[in-house]
Amino acid sequence: MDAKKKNNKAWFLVLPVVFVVAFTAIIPLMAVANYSLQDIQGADNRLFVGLDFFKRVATDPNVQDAFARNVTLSMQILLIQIPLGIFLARLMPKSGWKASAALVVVAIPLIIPWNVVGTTWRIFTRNDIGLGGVLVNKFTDYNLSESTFDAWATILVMDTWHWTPLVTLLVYAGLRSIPQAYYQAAAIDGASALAVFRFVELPKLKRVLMIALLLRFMDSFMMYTEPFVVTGGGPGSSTQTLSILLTTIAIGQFDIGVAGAFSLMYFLFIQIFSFLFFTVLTLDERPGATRVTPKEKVKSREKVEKPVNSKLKKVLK
Amino acid sequence: MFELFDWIPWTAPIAYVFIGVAVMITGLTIWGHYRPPIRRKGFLGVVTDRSERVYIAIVSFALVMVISFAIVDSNTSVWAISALVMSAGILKWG
Repeated sequence: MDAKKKNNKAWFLVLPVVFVVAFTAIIPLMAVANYSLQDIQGADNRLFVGLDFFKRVATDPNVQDAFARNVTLSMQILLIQIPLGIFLARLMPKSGWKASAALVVVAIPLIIPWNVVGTTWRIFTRNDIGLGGVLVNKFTDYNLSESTFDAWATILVMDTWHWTPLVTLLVYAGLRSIPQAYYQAAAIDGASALAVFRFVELPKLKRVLMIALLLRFMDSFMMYTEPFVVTGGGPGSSTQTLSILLTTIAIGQFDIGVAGAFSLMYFLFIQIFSFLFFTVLTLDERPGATRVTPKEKVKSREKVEKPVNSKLKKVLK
Repeated sequence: MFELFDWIPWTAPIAYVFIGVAVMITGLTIWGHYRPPIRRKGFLGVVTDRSERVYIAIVSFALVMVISFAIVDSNTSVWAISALVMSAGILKWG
């Protein structure tokens, strides 16, 4: 191996995190995995059922519908919130007291607890006393507890209101870190605003956008509190997310085994989506293939040098 | 140390899985220390090293199994063997 040996001792500094994660995530995950294979009736009464719960959950139409709904919701949320977040961040003032004021205003929705957001929107969208509900009803029929579309749209708008600021703040920070020289160079070249955005800002924002995309995807795929408070998953089951369904099974019906199998599959899909997003977005930053070994290098050099050598010999002759 | 684990209603297969994962991570760490992995591009179209291929193989195995669970009356062992073959293919040529 000609590669210089790296000193990897710094990895030991990660150990505290490993312990914390073990305590809060890995050990509970072990418990959940064990629940998923057995039907637990009591402390001394458990029955090993193998993969039955997995099959029951995977073939359950309610679960399949909730999964499809969650994927749709997450995609819609990403399609709306990422562009909107970038748009808002570019509108925000760049410096001075106006910048600070804008940052505070934008950050307000982020510091409100989820269930308070849900309650606020529950009242806001009421037809009798809610400002939003009454206003929208002046133009079109709006009833969140009867119309599937209204309920879905409300969840979407509420989530956009609650979480677009996160994207905005991340993008704003990313924009501020772009050196002024890039803009000056673009101005000298006479680049249009669109070109500046496309070829200067967007490439520089890639990293922050990836974080925003991952956070927004994972949060929206696990969304629970807001739809639970605003629509309770209804009308029917039209806004029932996977998390709401899972909680109904685990706590409502106390089917710990089924809920365990459900959780593991849910976990798998979040892993797959996140891994795909991450890999695709960091494709050109990934380290390339290992360099060729010295032996092969010598061979390729010979191939290049041979003709030169023969020419040299001719000249010398 | 054991109080951390003995409240869990353990079953043998899950214990094997977690021991397997722990052994695998430790093994890959030691292996990687003495023989740094070679990064290469296979049929997955992405440059990967061996531990990344292990992760992809495991996740793909799990995904295929979940898909098989969703098919009514599917034969789990046939699916498991096919998924294992696929994972082995990813490890070797991925």
